[in-house]
Formats: sequence, structure tokens, C-alpha cells
Amino acid sequence: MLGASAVLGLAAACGTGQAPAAPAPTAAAAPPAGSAPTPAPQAPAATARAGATRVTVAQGVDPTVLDPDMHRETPTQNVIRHIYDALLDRDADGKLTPGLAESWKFADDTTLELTLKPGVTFSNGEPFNADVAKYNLDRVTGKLAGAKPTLNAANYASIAEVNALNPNSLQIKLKKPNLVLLRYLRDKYMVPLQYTKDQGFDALVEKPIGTGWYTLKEWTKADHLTLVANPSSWHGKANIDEVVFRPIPENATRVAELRTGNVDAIVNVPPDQVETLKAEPNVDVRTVPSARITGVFLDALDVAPLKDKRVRQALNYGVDVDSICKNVMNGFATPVSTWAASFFVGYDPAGKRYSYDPARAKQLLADAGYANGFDAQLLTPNGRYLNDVQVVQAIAGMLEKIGVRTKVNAVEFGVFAKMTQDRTIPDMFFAAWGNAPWDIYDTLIALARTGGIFSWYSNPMVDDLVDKAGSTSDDAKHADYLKQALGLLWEDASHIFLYQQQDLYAANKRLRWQPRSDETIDMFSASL
Amino acid sequence: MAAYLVQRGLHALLVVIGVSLVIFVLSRLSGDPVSLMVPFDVPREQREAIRRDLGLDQPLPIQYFDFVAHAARGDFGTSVRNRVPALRLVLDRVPATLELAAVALAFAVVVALPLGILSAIKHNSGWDVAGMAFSFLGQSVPSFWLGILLILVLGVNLRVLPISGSGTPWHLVMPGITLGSFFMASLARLTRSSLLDVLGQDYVRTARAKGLGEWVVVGVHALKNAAIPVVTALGVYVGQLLSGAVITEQIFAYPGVGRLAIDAISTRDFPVVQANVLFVSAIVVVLSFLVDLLYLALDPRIRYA
Repeated sequence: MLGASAVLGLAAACGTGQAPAAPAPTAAAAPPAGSAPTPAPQAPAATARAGATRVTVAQGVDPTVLDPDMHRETPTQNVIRHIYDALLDRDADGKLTPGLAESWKFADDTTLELTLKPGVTFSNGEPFNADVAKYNLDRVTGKLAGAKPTLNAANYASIAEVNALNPNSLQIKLKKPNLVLLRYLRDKYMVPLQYTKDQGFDALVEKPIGTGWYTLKEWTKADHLTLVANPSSWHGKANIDEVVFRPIPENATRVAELRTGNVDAIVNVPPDQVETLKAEPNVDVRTVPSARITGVFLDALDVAPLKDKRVRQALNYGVDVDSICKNVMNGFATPVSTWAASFFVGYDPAGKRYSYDPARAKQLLADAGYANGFDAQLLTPNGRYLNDVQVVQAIAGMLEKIGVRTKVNAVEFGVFAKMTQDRTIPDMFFAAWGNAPWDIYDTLIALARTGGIFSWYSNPMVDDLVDKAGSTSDDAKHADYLKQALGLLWEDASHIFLYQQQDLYAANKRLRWQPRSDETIDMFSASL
Repeated sequence: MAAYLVQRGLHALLVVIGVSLVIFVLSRLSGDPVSLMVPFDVPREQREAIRRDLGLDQPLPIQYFDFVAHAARGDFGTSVRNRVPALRLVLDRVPATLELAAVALAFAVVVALPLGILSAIKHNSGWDVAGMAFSFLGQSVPSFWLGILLILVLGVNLRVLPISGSGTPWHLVMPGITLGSFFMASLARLTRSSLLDVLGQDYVRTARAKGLGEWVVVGVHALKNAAIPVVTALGVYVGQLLSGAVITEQIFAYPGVGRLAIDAISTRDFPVVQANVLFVSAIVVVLSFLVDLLYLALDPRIRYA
């Protein structure tokens, strides 16, 4: 799989360009791109000002806060991206691109220097400059007196100090070399200095001020949030005048709203609705490989059988991942070697996979002294990940065949999160692991390095490689150490490695927009 | 009467305090907001810093007394997720849910009373069988299924009603029917059995013997007495409507307190859960009190002391 966004089913939308939603016989008969697609007088979101273009996106939940540092949620971030800018951005393939910083370079191993774009102002007229950037980074590193701890603080813990060398030049001193920081700067959206000094950071919660493409027009919580293009933005004016985000929790309802043309794009299409949607003349299903990888975590620290590498390998040989992808995930999943998606730093294209080989699994169990298998608890959150319980039941059935008798326990996600945090999980549990920076380093720190917050595994050789990857400022070496570490994890069968999900979106054909593997929804780069 | 009112008031207060304690302990036992606010890979130090900032590092009894002391002054704390006062979040959503409950109740009453009365008067006729079959259906169809069915038929196929959201009276039709159908069904059956019971009483036979018209017998004498259990049930229904709104609001993406409750519980947003549950329980307590007072008007024999 080459490239991050292998977008399926988009050909029709690209080909017809500004096609209206209703099937029109010829392009000449099509109304201008600006007109609302399906007349639906009862839906407020579909009735835009005359001549104004409006796109409505339905996510599952409402944003919680519009302060970029006080949340860690994708649906919230998707709204925030339209209002604020970060120093760097990332394209759909994972390449870092300029944002409020025009260029950046490491002056030495621990000094990052960024040149900021001149003449940028916030939507309230305040200027953006190096002082504002320093103020923002001081906030998330806890150096701003009186500021509350931000929820993204962990991403910037490697920063020692930030200096504004001149209005357009920012210097970031690191405690130790850290290549992943650049990728996290992409998630640090810049908030205004004077506004938050005068009114407090809490003002951003409902009245955000940014430098971005859009400004907030209105927000009726749990109903809709409307953004309007900011004509004086340094980006220029966005193609689409108004972007409306609606929270619609129920999958079937989101699908119905898309089918009737009241919304233009929806997230999390249930796999069983894909055929229905494909039959709709004005709708495309658009899928993209996800940055979320699933696996079964094994307590290799305390549980006797799971301490044995042969047992862990047997579990991997005993699970038919291809069958799960095909039959339980309806084909919307791809088996993986370990924890890296193809577009992550650290991914090894030569990485091997465990084949499905129950005979070999039984042999390995017998070699380890478990010829009669063993009993184990298998925990899963219920309803958190696509088809989570069904996948785990399938795994339990397969493990049963090699003699490993698991008792499946499905719990609500809040309970699951507390159990993992308190480390009161049983022998094995199923989870999906997301990766925001698209660099496997932080994943390995959390779930493979000894003492990691999500690690029930310890291997000094892995620790050594991860630490080396974390202390070099050489991109190639960094990636190479990570590849080696992943190779060790595979060989040592640290987890039962499963699959990479595919994210399922659907959109009205009039909307020229592609979903991304990082779950980002950018309507400023979309058009009608 | 005054003593009764004071006694009822104290009773209500006790119920609300009990509810607050139960919800406080239950919500905290089953999860932790911080573990749901940040991704799994956030290290412990950062989690602890956030927990301290939110006051969640304090022992439970101290947290509870802190909560009670503030709540007594109308301060339910700040939403952990939304960072605005929890009570404001709840109050902003109350009108929407009350509108929905009113429409659902109106739908239930308008359909159920004629249906129940007709079935009672035409006892054992085809009308009766058809009416009760209809209400049996209404009672056994899950609201989740009914809601999706309405969306597909009225929203997607016929396109006569908006599918989800709020803003116009039309947005209330499908959620109102979905929420009200269960109560419509049980109300119709209750009206029928209650009226049948009254119609067999001696005073009804006397009224008929006096030569009063059927309309006067049923409409004036029987219905008033048959109304007592129906009113009792209505009081209970309103409480159930508020909790039934949880599912309906979720299906129709309707911005009411039910959906707020679901979101708050699933994210363990304790201040919002507490404000939400306390507010709804206060409404239920007040309603049951009002129903008691309504008895006085309906049945002069009842005296409270």
C-alpha cells in the first residue's frame, strides 16, 4: 500500500467536478456550485444565504471546548483546525508542511529554530509573532504562572525553554534530541496573547479567536456549530463560505441525513450500511486506512504462561487475522506485522507477519509445557472500536482450538480505561492504538518499553533501541532504531498483532473532499 | 394541611440528598474522567497534574462535602469536559427536553383517551379489540426501532419531516411520537380498564335509571371518577418521559438533557452528571407532589393531614 490516502470510490466525484447532488442529465443543466443540493426547507443547515456556499459535516459528537490546549479529541480538533493555525502542518501523506512557520531547522541536536510568517493577524486584529508563539509554548510546558495544566502537556515535555529571538524568529531549546516534537508542533494551535491575558484562557472555550481560515459564527451546543470564512485571513478566503458541524450520535440517523442531502459528509459509516449508500445516486463512500492499529495486549510480566515467548508466539500463530479482517470487519481492515501503519516513521516494509498455523501453535504450546493449554481472561471494551466484541469473540473461538480457553469480559469503555490506568487488567485485553504524530516512537515508549504506562512487557534490547531512537537527531538513524525495535517485538511476540482499521466516510458527490488517515477533516481545502 | 406541606417538603429534600449521594458514589466508583480525557499514552505525572487541577485527588468524603456545600449555594461546579458551569449546561438543555416531553405527552393523551374511552364504551366489540391491539403494539415496539422506522419512512422515503436536530416545531413530531408511543399505549389501556370499572358501579346504574343520556353518564359522572388512576399514572409518566427521552434524543440528535446525561456519564463528567441527575430528580419529586395535590381536586373525600 503506497501513500497514506488510498481513497476508494472517489472516481465519480473527481470526474464530475461540480456535479449537483440530484442526478442531472448533463453538466449544462447543473445549477451553479453554490446552490443547495436537495431542497429540504425544514433543515436549517441546508438553507444558506443566497449565493453563499455551505457544507454540513456530521460527526458523532459535539466539540467540547474551542480552546485548542484543553481537549484531546478528534471531533473537537476538526473544528479547531478551521479556526486556528499551528506552526507546522502535515499533508495527507504525512509530510510536514509550513504553517505559521515558513521554515524550520535544527541548529544543533537540541536547538530548533523556526522562521515565522510575517504579517499574520488574529481575527480580532492582534498580531501573531514570536512573542505570541513563545507565550503559547510556555502555556503547554507549564511555564506560564497561574495557567492550568493543559491536556496536551505531555507532547511538549521535551521542551526546555523557548526564546523569541526577534518578531519572526523563534528558538526552541530541547532537554534532549527529540525528532517527534516537530510532529507535535503540528497539533499546537496558536491562541492570541492579549485576548487571553485580558479575558483569561477560559474565554477561548466558547469564543475562540485564531488566525485560521474560519471564524465562529454561532454554536448551539449539541445541535450545530457554524463557521464562516474569514475574508481577512492570511490564507486568503476559503472556497466554502460556511461550514456547519452537526453532532449526530446515532449511525443510522447520520446515514439518513446524508441520503436526503441534509448533510454533505459523515464519519464512521457502519460497514453494513456501505451497500445501501453505494446505491444512492448522490453519495460516495470514501474509505481511508486508519492510523489506529489493533492488538491483544498480553501480561508478560506477571502471568506465568504469557512470560514464555513460545506461548506468545503460539497465540499469534493461533489467530487467523485474515479471516477476522474478511469476515468480522467486512473487509474494512488490513492485517499488520506489528504496531506500525505503512505511513509511520519506523515502519518496515519487509516486516513479517505470523501466518495462521494452529498445528505449529499447538506444538509451541507443548514445547513450553502447556500441551493441554491453559485458561485466561480476555478483556475488551464494548462498543469503543468497530466490532470490538465480535472480533474478540472470534479470537476467543480461535484460541480455544489451540487449547487456550479464554473467558471474554466485555466492559463499557470508561470502566476499561480505569482498569488499564489502575493496571487491574486481567491476563489479556484487546485495544486499538492511535498514533497522532505518525512516528512509532511514542507508541513504543507507552506500550513496549519497560515501565511504559501501557506496557505489560519488558525486554532490555527493545528498551535500548527505543532509547537510542529517542536520543538521536538524525532522521534516518531514528527510523532505523525503531524498525529494529519493531522487528524484535515481532520476533518476541510481545502482543497478538492484529490489523489496521479502515475509516469509513461517506459524502455527497457535490463535495470535492478526501478523508485522511489522521481522521482530520479539512473543509478549507475542499470545494463544491 | 400546612403540616402536610412541611412534611412533604422535608421528604422531598431527603430524597434529593439521597439521590445526590448515590449518584456521587456510583459515578466515581465506575471510572475516572482523566483516563478518558487524555489518550492512553499520556504519562502518570501529567494525569496527576490534571487530576489535582480538577480536585479529583481529594479523598471522596471531602469531595462530597465540598460538592454539597457548593450545591447548596447553587454552584454545581464546572464541567470537566466542557469547562463551563455544569448547571448552565443542564439548564440550557431543559427547555428542549420539556418541549419534547410536552409533545410526547400531548400525543399520548390525545390518542389514548379517545381510544380508551371508545374501547370501554364499546366493550368487547370490534372497536375494543382493534383499539387494544393497537395499544398492545405501541407498548411492545421498542422506541429505538420505532424511531429508526419513522426516520426511514417519513424522513428518507417520503421526505416530509426533518430527520434530526432541533429548531422548528416539525423537528418535534417524530421524536414526540417515538417518545410518546409507549405512554400512549399504557394510558389507553389504563383509561379503558378504569372506565370499565367505574361503569359497573351502582351510581352509574342509578344515573342510567334516572334516564340520563349516555353522554352525561359517561362524560360527567363516570369519567371524573375514572380519572383518578389516570392522573396518578400521568404523574409517574412525566418522570419516565424525562428518562425515556435519553434514547429518543440520542436517535434524533435532539439537544436535550437526556443526551447530555449520556455524554456526561460516558465521559465521567461528574459535575454534569450530578447537576443533571439532581435536576431531573427534583422535577420528578415536585411532579409527584403536584399529583397528590391534584387528588384533592378530583376526590373531595381525600384529606391530607
